[in-house]
Amino acid sequence: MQTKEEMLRKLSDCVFDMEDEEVVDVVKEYIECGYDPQEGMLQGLVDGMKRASELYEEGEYFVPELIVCSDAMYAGIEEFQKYLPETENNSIGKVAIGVVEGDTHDIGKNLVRIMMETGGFDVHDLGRDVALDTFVDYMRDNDVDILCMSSLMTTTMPGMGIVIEKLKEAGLRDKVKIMVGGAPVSPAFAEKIGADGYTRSAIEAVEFAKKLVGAA
Amino acid sequence: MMGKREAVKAILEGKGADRIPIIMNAFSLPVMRYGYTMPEALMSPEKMTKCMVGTRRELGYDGLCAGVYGGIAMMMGGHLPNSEGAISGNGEDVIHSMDDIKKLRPYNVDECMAMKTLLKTIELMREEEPDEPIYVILHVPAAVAFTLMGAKPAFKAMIKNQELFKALCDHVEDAVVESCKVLVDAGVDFLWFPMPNFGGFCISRKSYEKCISESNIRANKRIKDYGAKIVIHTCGLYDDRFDLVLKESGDAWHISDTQTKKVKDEYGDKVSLMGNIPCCSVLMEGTEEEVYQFAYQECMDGARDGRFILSGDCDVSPLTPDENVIAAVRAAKDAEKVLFG
Repeated sequence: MQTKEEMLRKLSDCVFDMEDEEVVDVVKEYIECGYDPQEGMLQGLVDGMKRASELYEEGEYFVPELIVCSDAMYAGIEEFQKYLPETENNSIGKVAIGVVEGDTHDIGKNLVRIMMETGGFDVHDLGRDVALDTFVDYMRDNDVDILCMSSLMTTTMPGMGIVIEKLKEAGLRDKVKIMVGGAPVSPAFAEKIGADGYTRSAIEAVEFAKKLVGAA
Repeated sequence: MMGKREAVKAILEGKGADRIPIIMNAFSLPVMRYGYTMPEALMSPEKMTKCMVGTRRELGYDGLCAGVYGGIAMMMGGHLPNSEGAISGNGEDVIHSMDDIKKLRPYNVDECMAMKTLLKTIELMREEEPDEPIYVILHVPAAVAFTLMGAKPAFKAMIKNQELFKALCDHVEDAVVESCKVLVDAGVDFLWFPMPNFGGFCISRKSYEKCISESNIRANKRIKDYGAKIVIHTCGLYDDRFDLVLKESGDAWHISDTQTKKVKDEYGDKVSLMGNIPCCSVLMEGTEEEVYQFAYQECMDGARDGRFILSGDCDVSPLTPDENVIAAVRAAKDAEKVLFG
């Protein structure tokens, strides 16, 4: 039987090496060894995703590689969840994320979601082409620490400013921190529309979000 | 001084011109400026012509974009359900296996409504402004394949199922070439191929080599052999793969996210350049003076041999102040005087 450390490394490698089909068998093998599923998820799968993120930051991995790594991670998590008891929520903060109305480009948003989840946040994905009022309604109806909005197009980026104005009008602006992103978005634009921050990449977004919730 | 179309032709043929055309690649700006929605403008040759011609005249730049052609994915895959099970009609996110490719409809450019609309737009624009260069935005086979697969499955296929991605590129190649031929016959001055998903912000050089290069080389050659002029928009980081793009027969590169001087020094003797004022940080957010200085320097870096078109680095934002666009035009005119007398 392999040691726990060896199995954790194997899980991590499955994600890191983009073995999205093999990972489920490795999870089963890990469970059969009697090791802790929670540990397997965090120190195995999530660790692999963190290693993949590091290579992304270094320019060795790109979007396709990250997508396959994250598919492997989520496939493994799905398998682990069968063996997990109902547990208390260990998240470091709640995030709602979405691409604003008129824009269907969601690869960047999805990467931020993956990185946020890997970083320990509980993320609710509102999707793409999200009606501006939907962001406001969600903030009204849920306790959220950070709202992340993105746009890839200059034609739709003003939508993020409109959401912020609507949140102000609804008296909800102070309830939530707001981060914005997307190819045409800049720090100056973020400041202009009254967001709390802008980051250039998904990796930076997680670090910035941690600072916003005091978990950095 | 050469006429505008003559100058653009000379630049794209690598001969050099005695002026610096200022083709601002403003597409969404004119549409929004005239209060239209994008679908509204794309479906109406009259509206498209009105906003493109009107904005060009008001701001003083050159060239007219006749539209974005998305008819291939729409016609071939519009009847298929996407990964969410919905039939959106646009052909996006509908091909996920070799079997799915067999479900694509044949493409007939003569029956494509989007092409008919585009041809009418070109006709109206030509009547309205016979001396202005007209161009159309359309997609290389790999970009059509990317649309048909949807972003996530397409990216994933570049790692896990390259044969599928390449097979789809091959399958749509004739449709792309046929579309280009029709546009050349209609008298467009150049075809503008954006490749935002294939640069270094998205994929590795290795993936580009394996999944994109071969198709681009083959399709572009066929298109050029018919007499088309091609501008390849290297949208994103291409510094590590310009040598690969060089093999793709572009008459010019519309560059972004790089330095014009650097690309000019390395590839200027082989290909003409277009660009490269950052549309957001400079054109949209900069002051008039900052735009002028940046645009002037671009011209000095790129146009010494007369093979340069001044432009933004991508689509000019509708939020761009008029005075900034006008400052860019003024900068090109001033640089022109210095460079060509």
